[in-house]
Amino acid sequence: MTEILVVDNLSKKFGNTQVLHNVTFTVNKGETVLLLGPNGAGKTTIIKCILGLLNYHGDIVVDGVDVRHRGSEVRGKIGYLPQLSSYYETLTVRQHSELMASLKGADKDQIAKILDESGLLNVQNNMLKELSSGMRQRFGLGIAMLGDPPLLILDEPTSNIDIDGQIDFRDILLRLKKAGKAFLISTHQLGFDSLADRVVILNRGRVVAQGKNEQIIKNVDIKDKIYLKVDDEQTKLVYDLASSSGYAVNDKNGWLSISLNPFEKVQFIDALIKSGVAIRDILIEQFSIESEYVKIIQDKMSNG
Amino acid sequence: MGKYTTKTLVFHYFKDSIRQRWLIIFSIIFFFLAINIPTLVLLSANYLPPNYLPLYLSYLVSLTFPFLPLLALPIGATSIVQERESGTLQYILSTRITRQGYLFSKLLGLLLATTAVLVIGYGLAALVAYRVNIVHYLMMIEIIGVAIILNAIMLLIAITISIITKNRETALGLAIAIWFLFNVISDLGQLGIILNLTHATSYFVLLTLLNPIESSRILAVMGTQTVAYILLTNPTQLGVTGNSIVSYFGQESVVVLFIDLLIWMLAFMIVCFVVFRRQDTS
Repeated sequence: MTEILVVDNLSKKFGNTQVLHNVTFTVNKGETVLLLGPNGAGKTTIIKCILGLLNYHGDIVVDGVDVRHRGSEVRGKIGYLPQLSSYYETLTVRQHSELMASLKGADKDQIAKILDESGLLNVQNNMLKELSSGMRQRFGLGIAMLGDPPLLILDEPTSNIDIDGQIDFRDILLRLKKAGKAFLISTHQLGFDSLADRVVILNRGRVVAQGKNEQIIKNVDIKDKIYLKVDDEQTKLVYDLASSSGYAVNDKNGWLSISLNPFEKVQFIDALIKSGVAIRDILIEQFSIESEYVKIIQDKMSNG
Repeated sequence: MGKYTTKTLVFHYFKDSIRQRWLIIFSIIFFFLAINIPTLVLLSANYLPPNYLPLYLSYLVSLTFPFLPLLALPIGATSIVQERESGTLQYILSTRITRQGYLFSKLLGLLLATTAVLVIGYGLAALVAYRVNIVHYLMMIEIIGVAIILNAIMLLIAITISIITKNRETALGLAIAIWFLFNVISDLGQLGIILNLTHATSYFVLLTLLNPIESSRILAVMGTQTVAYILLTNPTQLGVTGNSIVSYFGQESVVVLFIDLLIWMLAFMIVCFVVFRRQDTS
């Protein structure tokens, strides 16, 4: 498979602080790579280096073009969605799209198509500040698509949007992935596993693990936590079902909490309902790699 | 795509600047400063002699030029740092536009917007208040020309401040400090030198040339009448600094002052482009 992005021995210092240490990874054409790591791991710094916004040591090549020497050409091959949407708020959706189309050297005829695909055609004359966070993110992705770049770089794309927005957003990404786009997605959430082909895990500016998504997920003991409220007389039934599946139950202020594999939680809840447990309330705390994931990976690495 | 992209961005920054509240407020104040209501009243009552305009314009220059930097300094100083703080700068620079293209667009957009204020302010004032004829308009054009040069220098200084500072408040503070330095501290320093030192003309001339506001004021006054005529009729128009320049450079004073202002412009243009090109955009 041909590489669309090569990051080779990337190092970066801010003053006396070394924030990236010889980071090396690649993204192949049509592939989706997740850049995972807690806040401060260096994900955004890597992205800024790829975009030529920061000076760096090492080599970055996008579709055969060196970032350091031909930055403008490289940026023409990248669609970028920043973590925080930073638009000219006094412009309308249409005006901003036209400005960005011009800056990206894209055909203005593309704008209507992009706005339509992002579901924003009917708000094209609205000011940007009037858009909801989900709309802004879809708009940002649409703008990133202007010029039809082969590589899309998304920095924490769903961190500021609600669940509905996240679902819509992932659907769009899935569509683009099927259309053959390559993605580099920086995130500290695990919601993109269904999209990812490979994962690069960072901590404190170092790549601590990388590989196929399934391998990485299998290697770590990921747990979601569900909190249940059931009638007192059914508490024992929950304990029994959980222990028969090998899960421990904790009871705190009437909430029963169970840590379990994210892929098994639906089956477990289904089993509870089929056993006649009336669930009065439910909360799900999704696994976050914010601290835990990297810690697990580091432990695994130090243990050999 | 370079030219078209830059043109789009220049137009965007021009429109964005022209809508800024500070620019609108400054335009109104500047217009009233330029038409000078007492002069307007005296003129309407025919109390002013027919050839009052050249002398009046030279005083108008001395009155308005120290305030001109207040147009470009705040707007320019906050322009880039504000975009950096909001993340817009990184977003714009993530497109195909180069850093030089961005900076050029920013500079030109702001320069066009602030120049429009100057041209409209002086030009409209001349049209409605001074009853100028075509000869007098040439004087106005010279004054406006020098004002645009001063404005460009201040804009370049302001943009440099905006590039090197980390937040909007610091940039604004530094811009005001620069204005204060050129108008108040530098003036007091010059006075101190002239009063306390004997044979200090060369230092005094150097200090004047190191102050673009003062240099451009003298140059603009020299644009209203010839140097010889000013010296013959009313040398106080040039002020202490202007007279020192004339006594040092003689007939070449206009050329020297013009070159001085060009050097200011060129120096800050090089500084801001080089620093912006090399710095991290984070």
